[in-house]
Amino acid sequence: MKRLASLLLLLLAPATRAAGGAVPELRFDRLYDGAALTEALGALRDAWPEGLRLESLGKSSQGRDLTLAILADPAGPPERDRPAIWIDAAIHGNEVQGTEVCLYTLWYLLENRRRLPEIAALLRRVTFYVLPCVNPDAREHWFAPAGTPEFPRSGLEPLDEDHDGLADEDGPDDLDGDGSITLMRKRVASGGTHRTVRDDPRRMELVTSGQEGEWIILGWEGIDNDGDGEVNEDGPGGYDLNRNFPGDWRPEGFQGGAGAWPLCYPETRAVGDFLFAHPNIAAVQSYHTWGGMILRGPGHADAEPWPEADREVYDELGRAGERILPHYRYLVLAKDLYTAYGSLIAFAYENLGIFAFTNELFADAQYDGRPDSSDRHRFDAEVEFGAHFAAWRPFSHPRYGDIEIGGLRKTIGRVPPLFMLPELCHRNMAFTLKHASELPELSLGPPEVQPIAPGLFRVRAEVVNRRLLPTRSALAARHGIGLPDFFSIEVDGGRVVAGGLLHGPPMRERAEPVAHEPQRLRVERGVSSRGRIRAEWIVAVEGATSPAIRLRYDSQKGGTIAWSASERENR
Amino acid sequence: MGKLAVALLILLPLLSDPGADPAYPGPGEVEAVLRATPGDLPLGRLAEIGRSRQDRPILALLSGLPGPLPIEGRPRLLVVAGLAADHRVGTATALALPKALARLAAADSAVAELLSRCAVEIVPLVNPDGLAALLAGPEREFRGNLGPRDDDRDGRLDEDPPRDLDGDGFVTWMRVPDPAGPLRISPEDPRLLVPADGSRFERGSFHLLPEGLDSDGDGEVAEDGPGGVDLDRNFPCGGDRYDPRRGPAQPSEPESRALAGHLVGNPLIAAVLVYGRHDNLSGVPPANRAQGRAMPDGPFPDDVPLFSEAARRFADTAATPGALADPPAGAFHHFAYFCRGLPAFATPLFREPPAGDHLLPSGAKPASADARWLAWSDAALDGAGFRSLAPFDHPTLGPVEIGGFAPLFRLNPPPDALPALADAQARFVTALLGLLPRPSLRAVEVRELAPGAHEVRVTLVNEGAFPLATAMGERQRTLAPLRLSVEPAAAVLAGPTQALVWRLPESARTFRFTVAGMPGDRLRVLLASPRFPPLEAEVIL
Repeated sequence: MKRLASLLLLLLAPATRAAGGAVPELRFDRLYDGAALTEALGALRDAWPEGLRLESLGKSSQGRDLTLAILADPAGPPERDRPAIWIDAAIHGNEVQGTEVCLYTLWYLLENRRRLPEIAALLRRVTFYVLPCVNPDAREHWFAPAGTPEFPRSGLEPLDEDHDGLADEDGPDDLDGDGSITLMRKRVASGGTHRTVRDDPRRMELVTSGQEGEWIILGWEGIDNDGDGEVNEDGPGGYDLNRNFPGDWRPEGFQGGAGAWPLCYPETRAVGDFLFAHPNIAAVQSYHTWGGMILRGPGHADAEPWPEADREVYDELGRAGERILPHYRYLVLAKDLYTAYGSLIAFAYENLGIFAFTNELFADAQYDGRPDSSDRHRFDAEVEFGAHFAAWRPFSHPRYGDIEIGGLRKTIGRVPPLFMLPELCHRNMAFTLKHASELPELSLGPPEVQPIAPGLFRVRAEVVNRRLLPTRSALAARHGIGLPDFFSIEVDGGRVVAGGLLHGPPMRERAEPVAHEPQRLRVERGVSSRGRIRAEWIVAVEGATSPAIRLRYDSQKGGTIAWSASERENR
Repeated sequence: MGKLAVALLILLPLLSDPGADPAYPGPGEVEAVLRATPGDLPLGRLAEIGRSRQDRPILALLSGLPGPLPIEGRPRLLVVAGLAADHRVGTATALALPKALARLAAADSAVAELLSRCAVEIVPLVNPDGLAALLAGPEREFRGNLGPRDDDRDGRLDEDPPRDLDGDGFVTWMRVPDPAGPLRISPEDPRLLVPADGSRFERGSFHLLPEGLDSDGDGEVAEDGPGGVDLDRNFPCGGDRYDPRRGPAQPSEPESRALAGHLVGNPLIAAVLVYGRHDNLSGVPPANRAQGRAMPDGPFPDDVPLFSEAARRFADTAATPGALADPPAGAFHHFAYFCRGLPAFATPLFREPPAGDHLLPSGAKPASADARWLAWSDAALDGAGFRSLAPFDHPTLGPVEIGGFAPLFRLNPPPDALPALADAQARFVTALLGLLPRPSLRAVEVRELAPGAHEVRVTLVNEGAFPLATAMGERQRTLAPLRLSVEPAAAVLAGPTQALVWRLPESARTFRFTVAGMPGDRLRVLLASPRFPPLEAEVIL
């Protein structure tokens, strides 16, 4: 019955809903700067204004909107009463293409909501909160005036990194005005550390002991703007938004870039406040670059061990990710990569009970589809025809004298070749949709009602979760994070005499009656991964041969589901 | 906060009438006192550092005596009180501090000199909402602000608060008869209960519950009252992140964020003193044992002498009976030290009954802490500290007795004790001011290296007792270094144009600059830092 109703709804949906505009034809072999992103999001919203809403979560340090897309089919439950996934990108401004993955995800879901039943069902069941750019100031700076593969990573609140009383006064400079910060090198008669590669004059190689080098690498393009003898030592910002989340946050001396206190920056505050205010968010996906990794926490080795039940959920999703994303590896941040305190994904799981991943987009092995294919110069020359190489050009530097500026641009390394970007977007979206599709999906069938005496009935009911994610993580249950689930019963004209959850194997299960409030049972552990919970009540209805009852299961992360004798089905 | 700041500069006569202060002011009175008389020291500057959840102002008063520098440019000691709503002694003492300092300065020229080059900034009430809520109802223990907290996690907020069931104006305790209870009548006094010791075959006959009902029918009594987050647990650094009293994240509350922002945004704050429940002055906190990047569990070893010296001065000037009680639970002074590297101290001001030969009604000398409080209440306060036990027919528990210590009795002394407390704190505050680091430039020497080239030697001296920065501050890089430089910078022939000094644990250090110039040329040596007033010395080659 339910499936039939869903199918009818699906078939009728295009006709009964406001049409909106056509889904725009967006290209994903390009990058979107701030203006282009705003335009694309607006066009997507216009294509389905009933389902896609844009909100500003607040302003960045430099006053840019933090634009959040909220996507949910209004044919489903209210967006805050159903499980939700949070998707974000570009918390590090130089890690740009996560924004395109977010944009692609929104586009794909809109484009296919009528064509693919699985997508349509997902949009009715799940809310998508998508923040394509957490750090718009730095990402915009990367586009213009200039960036490197590594810069600017930080938010752009001024910081006096060299402690000279001035903030951000000596950052990299695009000395040759080509829109990219590349390298400076100086030819020396002796003492050089590098030499030109014999068969490729674009490249240099480190000299070994006994060899004579011809170049000294002077670092990224820049001058000594503040006259302190140092070059590029105090650029824009200088902290790390992804070390600024609460929970396992550590101050600056123990975690570089941590900020003065957790959520002290407007961008992290906006994200943190939103996550706190939306307990229906049960999954988090953050896009970073690079390395081809699907990362989970913990972020440090001395973290409390994560419960096995939760690790199994992570592992199953991680293994799926390795299938969906060739050349990506499922890794544990602290064990396999590095120690990081104050990250968003550790905060999400350890403080809020949300299953959270970081994808490090693009692996070097993808250049040629082989694990050893990491030669960017060769790839650029043979496959991209030199698109990412700035020829070495002479420059008269005020401090270093005659030097050369050139080398690989910001557009290679972390950023994939743009002809490969659509696949990157699609496969990463596919992993994220796999995560979203495994958000709890509850069903509550008709209860078993057994008369046990005149006017007295035993009622047993079951809630089933057919998905991988539990309604409450084991860690949340362990520490009392968020609210427990509640399994409630109402009896028309009667009362609930006793009640409790049922435990034990089938046919031998036993009720554990609660001492108080039997009509509203607390389910601290929620409904487990692909699991069920059963409850039993004794209800009294004087003179009745069959009690009229209503059942309801409330879960912050699993949504609300109800059954009543009159409806005889889930709603 | 700068945009919100309301600054006043008002000249006031020294030694205002000490009796003019209400003994235990409420939030409106605190604000009125601060706004009407922004300082009992001649220089007073009042600023709003933030607003509470219910939009009350959180005010900071900067005060000192006239001196060579404007008060805003001086190193300062930040005194913070009223983080917990019921710690009223802290607010009263902080508010009385300017007057007490003025009295001390009038009698002691050394204190006057200190107050003319340093400043004391008081934030007497961080939690005005909590105090307003406390004063609006019967007397009860209540630390928090009014941040929503679903204590029993049932999806309903504040539905089962403690109540004054017997209508005596106090929320005390219910003594519930219980043959399996953990408590028995104290042999010292029948008004007291003590744990029954099973190993001695003692049997309990009571359990204690807060005065209240089971309003939500969940079997628990008074387990979900209004508010709130304990602001003195609402700072990062240490403690159990899952403790609900700490708030959903640290710092999560507008009050604590305002205070953290004020601390971070004012580099001239050189040390912090908090009046609250914690105490790191009645002894010396044990040094850190944590390794690597784990959060320290105590001061860095190089900072222990600093805490030791503060404790010694505290014992000399303002000792409060009691032992060290400083759990790492997100307190503000921990944030100030562990996250910002500032010397930071805390005292409850009042934690034990005054010494005296107060006897129990039985004629016995009290042995336990509770019995000492009871004896003092009986003998010195006409029993005001203990609400007599009275029978009450509870709707769900049956016959109980309601009574016990008055909720604020053991936290806040009688009003007549406040002036002495303020005077003692004024002595301690001036002792702390005297310990603060104080850089100066000494012994600028010039030596000609060659025609047109000279070596300038400058000695940086710390005339204070505390180093220029703590070891924790040096590790955190949160306390800006001092920048020693020569102007014009172009004159420097070799080496960097400025030297950064982070800590200077020794009392003096000499720096050398090689400069270009001819005999008779004049240069300037500058010492700059947002943490100290700027200094300069002229050099004649």
